Amino acid sequence: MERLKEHARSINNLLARYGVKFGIYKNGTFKEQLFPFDPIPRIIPKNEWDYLEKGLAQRVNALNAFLRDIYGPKQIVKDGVVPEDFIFASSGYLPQCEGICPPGGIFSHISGIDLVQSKDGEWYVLEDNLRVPSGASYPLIARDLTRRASSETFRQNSVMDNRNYPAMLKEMMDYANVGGINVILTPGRFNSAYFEHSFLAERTGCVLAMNQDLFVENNRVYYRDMEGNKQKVGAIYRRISDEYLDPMTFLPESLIGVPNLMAAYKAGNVAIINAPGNGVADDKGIYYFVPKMVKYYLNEEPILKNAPTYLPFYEEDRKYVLENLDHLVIKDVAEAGGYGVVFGDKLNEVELENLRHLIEKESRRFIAQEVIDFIDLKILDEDGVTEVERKADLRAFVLSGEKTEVWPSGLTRFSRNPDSFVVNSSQGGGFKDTWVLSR
Amino acid sequence: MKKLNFSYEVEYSFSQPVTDHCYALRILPETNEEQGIYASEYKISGGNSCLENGDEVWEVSEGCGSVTGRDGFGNPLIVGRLEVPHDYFRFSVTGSGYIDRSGKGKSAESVSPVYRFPTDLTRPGDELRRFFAANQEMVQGLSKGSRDRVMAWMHLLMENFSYFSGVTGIHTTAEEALKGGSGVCQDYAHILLALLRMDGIPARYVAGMMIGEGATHAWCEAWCEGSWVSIDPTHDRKCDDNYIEVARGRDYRDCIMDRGCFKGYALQTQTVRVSVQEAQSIPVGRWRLGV
Repeated sequence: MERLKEHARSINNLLARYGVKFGIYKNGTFKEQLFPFDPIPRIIPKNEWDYLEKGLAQRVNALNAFLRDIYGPKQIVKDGVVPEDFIFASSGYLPQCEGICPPGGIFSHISGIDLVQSKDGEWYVLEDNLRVPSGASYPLIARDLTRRASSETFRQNSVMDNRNYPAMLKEMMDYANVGGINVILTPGRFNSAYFEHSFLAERTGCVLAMNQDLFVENNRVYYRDMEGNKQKVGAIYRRISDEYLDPMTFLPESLIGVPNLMAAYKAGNVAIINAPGNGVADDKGIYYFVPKMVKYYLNEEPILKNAPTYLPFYEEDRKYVLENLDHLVIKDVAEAGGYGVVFGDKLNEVELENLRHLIEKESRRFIAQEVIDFIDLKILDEDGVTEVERKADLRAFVLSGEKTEVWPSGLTRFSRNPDSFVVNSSQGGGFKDTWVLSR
Repeated sequence: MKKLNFSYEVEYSFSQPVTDHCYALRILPETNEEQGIYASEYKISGGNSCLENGDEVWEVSEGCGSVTGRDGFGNPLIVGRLEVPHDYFRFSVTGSGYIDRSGKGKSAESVSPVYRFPTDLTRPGDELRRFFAANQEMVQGLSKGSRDRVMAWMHLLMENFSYFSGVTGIHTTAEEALKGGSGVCQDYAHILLALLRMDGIPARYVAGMMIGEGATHAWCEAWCEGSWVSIDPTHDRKCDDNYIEVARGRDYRDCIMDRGCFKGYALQTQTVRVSVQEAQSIPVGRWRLGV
C-alpha cells in the first residue's frame, strides 16, 4: 500500500491521459474535470462483504419485484403497503410503461446502491439508483493502473479481482438480449459520463451508438453500421434518461432519443437496460418502503438497513420532523446527485421556519433522515504526503440477469471538503479503489 | 342511437424533401360500450411531387383495423417510418360506426389511479385552488363523486371561461388558461380535469371527432358511480351520439393523435380535414353494445 502512495501522482497522470473524466454543468456551461483518484483503498473484509453481498442481492430482487408489480397488477398498493401517492404522483412513474413486462422480467439490470458505514461498523443504505447508475468504470480502470504501478501489492494482499465487471455486464446483456447485437446508447461526448460509455463499450464488445445510428422499422430496432448495412439490435444499454429516450413517447423536443423505440420495446423486440420507468422505485420517497418490499415480496427479513427515515406525509412523522428539524437531513425527493439536500443544523432560525412551512405545505415532497455519523476514511492530502480523514460512501453495483450478482468492488467516493457529508462526484469529490478481501 | 360516417385526413407538405420521417398515430376509433365501429380503414402514404416522372408515391402502410401496438393508456397506436426523401406525407382514416350514449356510460371494474393525480398540464396553482375554494358552496349540497357534482363543476367552468381561439396553445396549462379566462376545447378539458381531480373524481382526457366541428375535438370523461361518463365542457353538456372517441389519456399529451419527426431543413404546412356525418340508413334491430 505504501508503494501505491508513491505512485499516486503518476496514476492520476495516467488517468488524465486516458481521459478518465467527469463532466459537470456549472452555471449553464459544460466543463470536463478530472475525477481525482486517491491511492489509499477502502478495504472491506470478507465476512463483511459476504453480509453486504447477500443484503444487496436481496434488496435488488425486491426492487425488481416491486417494479414488475407496479407496472402490472399493483398488488402492493391494493394491499395498502405503499400509499398510492408515492407511486402515481412520483415523477419517476411512467404510465407509458403500463402493462410492459421487459424480457426476463427484469427492470433494474444494473443497480447502484449507495451505502455508508457508521462509526459502530453498521452499514446503511442511503439511496438506490436504478435508472442509469454511473461510475463502475472508475474503480475498474484505476485497478488496472494500480496493478501496473505496483503489481506486488496485489500479490501480497488477497484482494478479489474486480476486472470481471465487463464480463458480468456482457453476460447480463446477453441474457436480456432478444436477438441481435448489443448496443450502448450514448448522448455523446458532452455527457458527464461519456468516458464511461466508450470505455464500457470497448470492454464488453458492444457497439457504441448515438441516436442517429439507430432507427425503428417494423417495430424493430436497427443499427446502421459504417458501410450502411443495418443490423438488428437485441439489447440497448442506454445511457440517456427516460424522458429523452423516445421523442414520440416522451419529450418531443428530445434530439438524443430514438423515435418509436418504446413501441419496439413494448412489442418485446428489444431489451432496454435499465428499463424505462424505474424512477418510481428509486425515488427518495419510495426509499422508505424498500425494507417493507423485502418482506412483502420475498417474505424475508431485510438484511440491509435503511438510514432512519421519516416521511412528513405521515402525521406522526411530520410532527417529529417539524420538532427536530435542526438536527435532521432534509431531502427533496425530486432532486438527484446531491442537489436538494439540506442539513438542518446549517440553517438559521428564519430558514428553519421557512422549511417548516414548506414541509407542512408539501409534505409529500420531502423525506427527513437522522444524520449518520459515518466513518472517515484516510485520504492523501493535496501535498501527496499527509494523510487526512474525510467522509466517504460506497456505491455497490448489482447486476441482474439470469442471477442477481454483486460486483466484488465498488465506487468509493469521498468529499474534498473536510466539513462536507456530500460525496457526489457532481459536487467535486474524488474516488478510491474498493478492495474486497477474499479471505 | 346514431349511425355516423367519419373521415379524418391529414396532409403535410414540406418546402423541401425530408427523410427519416418517423410517425406515431393514434387515429383508430375502437368499439366500446358506447360506440360500435364496424368498418374502418387507414391509409398512410408519402411521396415526392418534384420528381420528373410525376407523382411517385410510397404507400407506407394500409390496413383495416389492424393495430401495430397499444400505448400505456390502451390506445391503438400505428408507428412507422418513411426513410426516402419525400415532400408530402398524408394519412387518413375513414369508417362508420353506431353511437349510443343513452346508457349510464362505460362501465369498468376499476379505474386506474393515474386518472386521479395531476399532470404537468393539469397541476393546480393558485388560480385553480382559488377557483376551487371559491365555488365550494356551489357544489356543497351535491354528494361526492356524483354525476350532479360533475355537471355542476362543468357549469361553473362555463360561467367563468369563454371560448376564444388563438390565445392559448398546445403547451398551455389548465392553470394558465383559467388565469387568462379564455381558450379552446383543450383548455376547457384541462381545467375541468384539474377541478374534478381536486374534487376527488377520477377524470380523463378524450380526443375525438364530432358532427359539425370540422376539426378534431377534445372532451372529458369522469368516473361516476362505477362508470365513465362523457362530458363536453366546451359545449357544457353531456356527450350525445354526435361524438366519436379516438384516444384517451391523462391529458392532451397522452392523446396526441399525430406525432412525428423528420430530418431535413424544411417548413411544413399541415392540412386537416375532418368530417363526421349522420348516415341515412339505420339497420333493423338493435345494435348490441360492446364486443
